[in-house]
This record gives sequence, structure tokens and C-alpha cells, in this order.
Amino acid sequence: MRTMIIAIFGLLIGLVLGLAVDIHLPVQYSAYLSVAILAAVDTIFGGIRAMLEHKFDERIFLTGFFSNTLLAALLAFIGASLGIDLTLAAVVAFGVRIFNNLASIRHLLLFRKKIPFHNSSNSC
Amino acid sequence: MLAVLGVTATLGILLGLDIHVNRNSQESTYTSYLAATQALSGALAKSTHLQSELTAAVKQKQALMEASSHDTKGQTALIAELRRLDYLAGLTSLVGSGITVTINYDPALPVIPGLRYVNEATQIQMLVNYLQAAGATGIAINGQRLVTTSSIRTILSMNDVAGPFSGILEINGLPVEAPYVLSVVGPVSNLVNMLNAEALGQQFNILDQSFAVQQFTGKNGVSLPPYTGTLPNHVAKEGGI
Repeated sequence: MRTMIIAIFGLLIGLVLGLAVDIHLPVQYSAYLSVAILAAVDTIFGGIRAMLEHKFDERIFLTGFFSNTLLAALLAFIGASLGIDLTLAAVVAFGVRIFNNLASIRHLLLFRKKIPFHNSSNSC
Repeated sequence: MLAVLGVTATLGILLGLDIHVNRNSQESTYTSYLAATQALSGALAKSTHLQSELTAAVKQKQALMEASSHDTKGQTALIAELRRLDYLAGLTSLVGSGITVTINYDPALPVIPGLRYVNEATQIQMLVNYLQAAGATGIAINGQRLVTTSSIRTILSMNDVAGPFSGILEINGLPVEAPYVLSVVGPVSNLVNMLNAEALGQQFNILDQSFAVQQFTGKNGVSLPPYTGTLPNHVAKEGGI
């Protein structure tokens, strides 16, 4: 619970900071930002799931967050340079992971004490 | 816990920046260099126009502020403002540097089949539009001063002149015959550059018409008469002004 409060607090601080700074990204870079946000959301869902499974590791969470975010933006950039819409690949990959993690979280919250949860990818 | 705080804060910053991105901006529709250049030209023209409108509004405000005192000073300011408006409306004569454009039928030019009929009104309107866009402060066609309520019409069924002309234009309700001489007061280089850039000379030449441009850079180079016709908004005014 305390972690959740900290997470919401951090998100609010970040939102306020992001809105307060007078930086307007050019619209052509918005695709990179969107994919990076998707990667970040994926990491956070992964973190919540790991926490519920009591496997949460701060180092993995932190490195996963930054590496996923940067890789997603890099993938979108390379795709734009090559003329291939690699953004779509990132969106599909992260989208699937987000839904899998969400399904796992749901199951863990609902049946934590009833059904042991092992393989999230096969559940929905 | 610091990791969670840092990660969520970073996500928040990313979301905040994403909210800032204006995806409805016209920039996103510029798919080519040409489209962007055209948009830039349009924006520049609009900016110049707005700048001049703003300057005029500031001047008018100042004049009205000065005129708000009900004494001789106020009356003088009002009269000056009235004269300035008359000048802007084309109701006073105008002298300054500028150009003249003479358009006439030229039988020496090669005849292009299928282009025998010329609607001079459309052509002259196009030319006037370009000249005004280039910063012309006053235009007269064969001595007829153009004002905001001026009309340029072709009078049909009077084709008794040589060439593809319909023969007569009606400007400010009065007949004007070819050759058409457009006297223009304004920035000479801008006016000439606009005519060259839009290749207006060639456009008129294709239709068997000569297009001669003369430049007058002197302070008294081109003289335009005042508009003398009726105006739709004549109101009663105090005597003695």
C-alpha cells in the first residue's frame, strides 16, 4: 500500500513537472515519446506484477524501465530513418506485454490465496 | 522505494511532455518542402498585413485620444485624422514612387489558337490583386482611382476594336478603353519583383497583349488622381471642415 502511495505521489510530481516546464516537443518527435511512454507503462505493470508475486527487485525494475523506454524510442527512430514503421512493432510487443501483465495482476489480486499463479502468458 | 518514486516521476514527466505536444498543429500537414514554403509565405503575408493593420489602429487610437479633448487641439486632431482616412480611402490625390503598366493589343505577338477571347476585367483584377499584395498604396487605371468600393467589369457586345479585346472596361461605373495604363504608387522593387515572379508579362503576351512596365523611383514619379465618385456611406457632416 505504501508503495502504491509513493508511486501515485511520484506520478503526480512528474506530471506537474512535465506540465510546468516550458518545453514543447516538435510534433514529429511525438511518436518517439508515445512509444517511450508505452514502454514505461509496460515496465510499471511488470513491476506491479513482480511485487504481487514477491519477486520485485529494484535494480531490475529501474534498469528495465530505462532500457525499455530508450530502446522503444530508438526503435521508432531507426524505423523512421529506414522508412519502416517499427513503431508498430514496439506498440504490438508492449501492448501484448501490458495485457499479459494486467491479466496476471488481476489473477493475483483475485485468487492470490486460492490458486497459485505460475504462467501468466497462458492466462487471461 | 526510491526506484518506484523515480520511475513513476519519470513517467509523469513523459506524460506531461506528451500533453504539451500540439498534434493539431498545421506543421503535421506539411508533407513536402513546397507545402511548408507556401505555408510560410502565407504566414509572412498575413503577418505583414496584421502588422500594418496594428500600426494603423494604434495611430487611429492615438488620434482619437488626442481628439477627445473638446477644444481647438481636439478639433485639429480630428481634422487630421479625417484627412488621413481620406488619404487611405483614396479620396485625395497621391504622388510618389511607383510603376506604370501599359497593356495593349499587339498584333506582332504570335496568335495561339483557341485563346482569342480575352476577358480584360478578370485579367486586370488579377493584376490589381498582385499589385496590392506587393504593397501598392494606390492604383489608378486610365485615371480612375481604385478604392475599396471600386468595381472592374467587362462591358460585352462592344467588340469593335482590333484584337481579342471585348473593347471596354467599366471601372467605378465609367467606361475605360484600351490601352489600359495602370499607375501604381508603392515600393518599386517589390512591385516589379511580384510582376516578374508571377510571370504576368508572359501571361498577357500569350493573349496577344503587350505588357510594358515602367519604373519611377523619384519622389514625384507617379501621380494618382483622387477618387471622385460617390461613396456608399456618405453621411451629414459639420460645415467648415
